[in-house]
Amino acid sequence: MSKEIFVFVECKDGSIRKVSYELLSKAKEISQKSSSIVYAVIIGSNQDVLANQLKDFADKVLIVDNEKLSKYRWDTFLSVMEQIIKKYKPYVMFGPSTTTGKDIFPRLAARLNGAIISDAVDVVFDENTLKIKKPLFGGKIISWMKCKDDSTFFVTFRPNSFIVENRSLNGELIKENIDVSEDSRIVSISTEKRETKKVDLQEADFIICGGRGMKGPEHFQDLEEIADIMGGRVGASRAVVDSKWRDYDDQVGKSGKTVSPKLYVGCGVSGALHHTMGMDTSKVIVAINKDPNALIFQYADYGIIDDVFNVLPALKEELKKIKKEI
Amino acid sequence: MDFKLTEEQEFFRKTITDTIDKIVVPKSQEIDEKDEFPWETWKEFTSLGYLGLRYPEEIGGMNADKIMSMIFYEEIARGSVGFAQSVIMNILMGTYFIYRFGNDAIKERCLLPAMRGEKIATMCFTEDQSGSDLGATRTTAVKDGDGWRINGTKMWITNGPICNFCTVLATTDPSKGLKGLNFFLVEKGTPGFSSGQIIHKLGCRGTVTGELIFDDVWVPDENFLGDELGKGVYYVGDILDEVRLMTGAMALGIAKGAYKEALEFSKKRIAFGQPIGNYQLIREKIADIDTSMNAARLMINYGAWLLENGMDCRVTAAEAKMYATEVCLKVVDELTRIYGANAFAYEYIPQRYFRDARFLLYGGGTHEVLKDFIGRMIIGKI
Amino acid sequence: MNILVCVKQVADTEARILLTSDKKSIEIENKYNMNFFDEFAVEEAIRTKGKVKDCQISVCTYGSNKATEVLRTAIAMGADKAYLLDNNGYDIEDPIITAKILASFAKTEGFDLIFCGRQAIDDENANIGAMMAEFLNIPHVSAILKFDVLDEKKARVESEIEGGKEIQEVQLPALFTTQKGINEPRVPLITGVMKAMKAQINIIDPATLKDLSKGMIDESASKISVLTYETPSARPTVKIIDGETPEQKVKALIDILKDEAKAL
Repeated sequence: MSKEIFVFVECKDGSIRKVSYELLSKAKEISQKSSSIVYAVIIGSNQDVLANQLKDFADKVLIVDNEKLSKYRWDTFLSVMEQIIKKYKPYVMFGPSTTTGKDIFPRLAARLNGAIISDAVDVVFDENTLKIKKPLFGGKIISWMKCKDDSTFFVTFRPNSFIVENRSLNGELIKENIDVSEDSRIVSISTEKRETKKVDLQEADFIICGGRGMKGPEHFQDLEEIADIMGGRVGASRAVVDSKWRDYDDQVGKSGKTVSPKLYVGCGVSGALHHTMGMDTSKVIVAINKDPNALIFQYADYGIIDDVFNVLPALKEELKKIKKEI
Repeated sequence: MDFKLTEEQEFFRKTITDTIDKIVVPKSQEIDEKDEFPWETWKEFTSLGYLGLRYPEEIGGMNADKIMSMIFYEEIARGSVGFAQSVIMNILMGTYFIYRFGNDAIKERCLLPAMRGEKIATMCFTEDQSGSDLGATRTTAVKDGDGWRINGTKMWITNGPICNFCTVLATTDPSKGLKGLNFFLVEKGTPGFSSGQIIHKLGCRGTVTGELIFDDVWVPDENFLGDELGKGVYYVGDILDEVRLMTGAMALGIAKGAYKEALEFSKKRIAFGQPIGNYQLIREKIADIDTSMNAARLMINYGAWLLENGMDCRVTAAEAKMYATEVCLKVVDELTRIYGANAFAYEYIPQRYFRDARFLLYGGGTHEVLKDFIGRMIIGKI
Repeated sequence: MNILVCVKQVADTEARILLTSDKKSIEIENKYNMNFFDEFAVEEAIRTKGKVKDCQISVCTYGSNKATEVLRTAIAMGADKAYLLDNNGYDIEDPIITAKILASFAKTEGFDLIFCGRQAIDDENANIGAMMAEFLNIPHVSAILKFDVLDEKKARVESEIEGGKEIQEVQLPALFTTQKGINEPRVPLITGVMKAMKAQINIIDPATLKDLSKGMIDESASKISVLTYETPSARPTVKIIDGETPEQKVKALIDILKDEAKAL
């Protein structure tokens, strides 16, 4: 059976989300080992420009373009994906473990009675099968799993799990004409977009996270400035969000978002378990805390034991210098 | 011999543990630091209904068995000992005699609101010169018309300065010694009844403890809490075992909290390149703590079981209280050793457990008095 | 109105998890709780009951006997009836099986409204809600932040979507998964605790449910298999950056991040 990998491309605010490129890159790497090819699946309305951007990353780009798909809804997108999978019968479909991915992929798997592994962080092709790596219990345990492949199965991955690699594949664009059906039981009344140019917390390469040690919402301004310099994002611990200094949208941790940036800097963050579970897969972790016993030093690669307010101004200056050099 | 909790008791244990974790634990440091009665936490916690723990469902209580009661006392002490003392006063000592002997009007006025947390109750035994030696009680109650006139000063009264009513132990006949002691209900607002000096305590802070002054306080006959005169001490016997086991349970709660801190610290504190939990002498401490806490727990459970089944547990209750308290004092001491110098700082938790645990030496009888009692009970039987 | 809340018992975040020597199974320290996101689901059901006439809340879980504890917690909060769908001690990996069982149960009783937690904190899958809805052929909305019943037939919800929020009106019966922020789960009153302690838990063998047979739901039907478990490789002990002034420490840190860690 040919082991074609389909990748669901997620778009946001008129552009392709970084996680889609990450998945396509990994899919291609896998497909080279399994002697198969990668399809990017882009669903929406007026997608031509975006579809072209996918050419470098996929062997084939399936485009479903329909006015009814201009806004994401699980029912419309599902009806399309269902038909595509029934037509092409791919080996596996990769998707992002994002708000959208979590909404649609489980239902898609159920509709097609295919196996699904969600929120994975790695995949390898070994012994003629896909082996999928998934953290459990907040990362305390790692499991390697596989799916029965008697029919198309599904795997969703966390953003920031893979590196983006442009292999200049010059993929073929294929337009699919597919009927879109809408579930009339759901009526969209209104949508409110967050007025923000903030980098998505789960996609950020750099996160500077503030905890109780920041002593108040006004001091997060320093963190915002550093995040801007680095093109990253400010995060917050649960204590900070519960105290209403920051929005829930910023929360890193078990009951917030799980993040995996290249560089995580914790400022005045104690490192309680429910927080560290949400960031301990970050590539490099730096902790700044005046308490030498703070738990976070157990999870950090590097630490500065000092009052954050002493350190932050110097940190901002040094990072500004670095960014100028690059 | 079944050592397991029933599914009901296990569920109760889990629920009360979670409730204390949510409502009391986050406030425990603040309660200790401010040393003021935590009205907000009181309202939040008492609105859940736990003050009715021991009383029948018919009057809005929970009819909890003794095992569940001990679980409750342990968990609330783990949360905050000061707060626990105030709560338990309303649950047990401060309301028991009203429940037992008060007429309907008194129950309506005092017991029911106390169960809802709307009124604060207390019990007054101790005086300057009499703690364990109840016979030395100097507060008097003299018959006056269709009531009683009470004169005296009580000391070390938990909730005293803020109470809405109290059960006061007074002698109606000093010549009769213990057999002259009786209980009376005195309510806030009664002329001559006032609070005096507040004690600034080493530990169990957050609960207000102090002096209560009875200056020619007149109460009507119905405020006499008893069947007949002279049985005061006899009635105390009704709850003395439970009070002693309760104190032991509180000791377990404090020890449990301290033990958890010690364990976590042993795992995370690095010295000479490894967690100190890897070193034998730290492991020895943990082993000793675990062993003695298990033994204390078994004694408290056994005492509660005897009590629940109506069996004589006077010796067991005294032994359990004593043993659990001594274990607790040892555990908090070890915690401060394991924790190193930081145990000496107000910023960290160990110093609070260390200070709070000390008070358990006094509630329910000092250990010197208890040992004499236990020895007397045992040898007396030969 | 008949409301169903699906809850899951999960290991406490502080529970120790150990691998067996063959690395094929895990042992969990005996500390369990109701899944964090499910608390919001139970709470929202209770709030809805408070606004609607003639309403009953059933709570169910697919698990082993010890999972009855979370059912009791839900009753203590205010649920009326509790059902344990007994997994007979097997922890099956395949969420489709769990969802099929829950859906089959939901079909038997007939519910107008189903609440689930957004995801379980032990596996972070977020599968069950949407899958259940699919098997029941009812609409679903994920990650709801506000919920109102407009009448017996419709609900109005605000949900979290990528980059913002959306308001939708959904015909009932429907399924909703609750996100943090929708409400503040209540601490049970003593009267609730007492009721929960005495509550009758209905225990159901999933194989007896309509449309299900043992072969559909036991281990052989699972499409997912665990190959092996690992403990994550530990990070080396933290390197504390020293310096006489904060500025020196920061400079040293930046140099290390650039050269050694290659994080800049």
